[in-house]
Amino acid sequence: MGKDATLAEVNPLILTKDGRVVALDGKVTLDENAEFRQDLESLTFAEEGDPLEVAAKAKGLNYVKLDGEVGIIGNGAGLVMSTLDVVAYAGENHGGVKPANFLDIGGGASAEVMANGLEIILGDPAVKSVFVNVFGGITACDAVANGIVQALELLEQRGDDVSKPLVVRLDGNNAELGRQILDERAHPAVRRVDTMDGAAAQAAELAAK
Amino acid sequence: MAIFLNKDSKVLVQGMTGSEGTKHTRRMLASGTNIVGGVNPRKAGQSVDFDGTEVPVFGSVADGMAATGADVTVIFVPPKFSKDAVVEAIDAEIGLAVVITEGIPVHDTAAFWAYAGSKGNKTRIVGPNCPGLITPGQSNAGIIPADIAKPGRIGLVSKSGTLTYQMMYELRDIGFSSAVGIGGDPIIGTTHIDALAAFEADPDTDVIVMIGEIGGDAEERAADFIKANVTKPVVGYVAGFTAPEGKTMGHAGAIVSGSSGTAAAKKEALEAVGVKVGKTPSETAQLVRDLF
Repeated sequence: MGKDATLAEVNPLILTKDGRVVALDGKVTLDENAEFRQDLESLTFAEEGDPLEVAAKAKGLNYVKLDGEVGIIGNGAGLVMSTLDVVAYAGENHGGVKPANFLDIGGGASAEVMANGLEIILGDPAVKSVFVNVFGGITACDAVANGIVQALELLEQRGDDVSKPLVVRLDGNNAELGRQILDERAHPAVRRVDTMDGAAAQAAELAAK
Repeated sequence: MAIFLNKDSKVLVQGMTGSEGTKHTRRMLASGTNIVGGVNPRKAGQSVDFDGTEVPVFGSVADGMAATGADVTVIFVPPKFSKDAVVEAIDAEIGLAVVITEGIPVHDTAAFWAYAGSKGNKTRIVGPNCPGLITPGQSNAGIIPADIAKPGRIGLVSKSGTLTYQMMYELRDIGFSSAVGIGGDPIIGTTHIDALAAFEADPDTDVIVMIGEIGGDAEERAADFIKANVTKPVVGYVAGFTAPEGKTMGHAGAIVSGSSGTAAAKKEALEAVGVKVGKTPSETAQLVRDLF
């Protein structure tokens, strides 16, 4: 309680033949939302897990590495989870390709966050295509489209390879304006598809090639 | 009618003078919400101009209620101070507290949740970490874009904000009685079951859409509730079939632990009580469409 733990687990706990109770392993999860009142710096952690997850965390991104080929970026945890599912279903018709990651860039979807997200995803050698799925709720789609365009320019300026195909679906608030921005920029990597199902199918098809 | 929120709702905003609070107060006012005041003890007595509408700032929720008859508060206070803000709302016995703030420590949510119970649950809490709720054409308490769908006869309850927007958009021509975003944190105030019960009782709702996601057992419990108590058709959607075990997927509560909390188990539980569950958001929307 004092350390804002959300999990304290001892597993397995064994009883030895000579009657001793021994905890063989333990796990504690602390609530990251409570960092402001906890002195977590006094505890040192080795960053665990996939190097891409560690790199994403350092950039403040909400990223989980999965073992597929279609990179995913979206806004909102629920929509991104749903996007993974739709891509996996679409992949059933394209040699069983699967989503390569979970990445929620949140409501704001600024150019900088988009660039950081794309950098992580394009840096994943398993990724063959990327599906950017944004529903403009509070964030208008024209702002998101500008974010994508600026992100690609930013990455090109850094000398990153941005040749992997990017399937972009924008819907919701100011969707027409956003699509127009993408069309006018006509980046060779970007393909615009206006439905979630259609975009997932295309991203899966591109990843299967 | 609608649920929890209607044209007569008088809405306070705690944290109205912060950046998010200001932005969304403007949007709520623009969509016709009756915003009667803000709450900020350091700015009590002042007022804020929103495109010609002067909104007074009160020193406390209780003061705001006494002066205006407010019955709803929307909370945009930063995570560090959210617990105190919700406790203040509970002490004032306001009918509905909508907690938008993301990133509240779960022990704080547990504390104000328990506090509300100890005070007899006079305050309905929605959230935290949620988009709030909307009764289209009447009132909007939170951050759901108001022009996304017209008024109609679908009732929607969802853990996810963007899936709420997506589903409202897909069904915008049929329209919604109310849509409630209950949030994706491990501990929340209003649950799927609370919203299902309210929609069942609401004469303006014909069909209920319930959106869930991995983690916990809220959807399974909702399925039991539907079996025993809901006569209206319910269409469901669950996100996260491809989520791996042991990884938090964005929402703090969205985690498959061992074999529990999986999307497959939730879908099965819902289908077992006659809920039609879509595989994708678009298929889910079509299932709803077929009922009209």
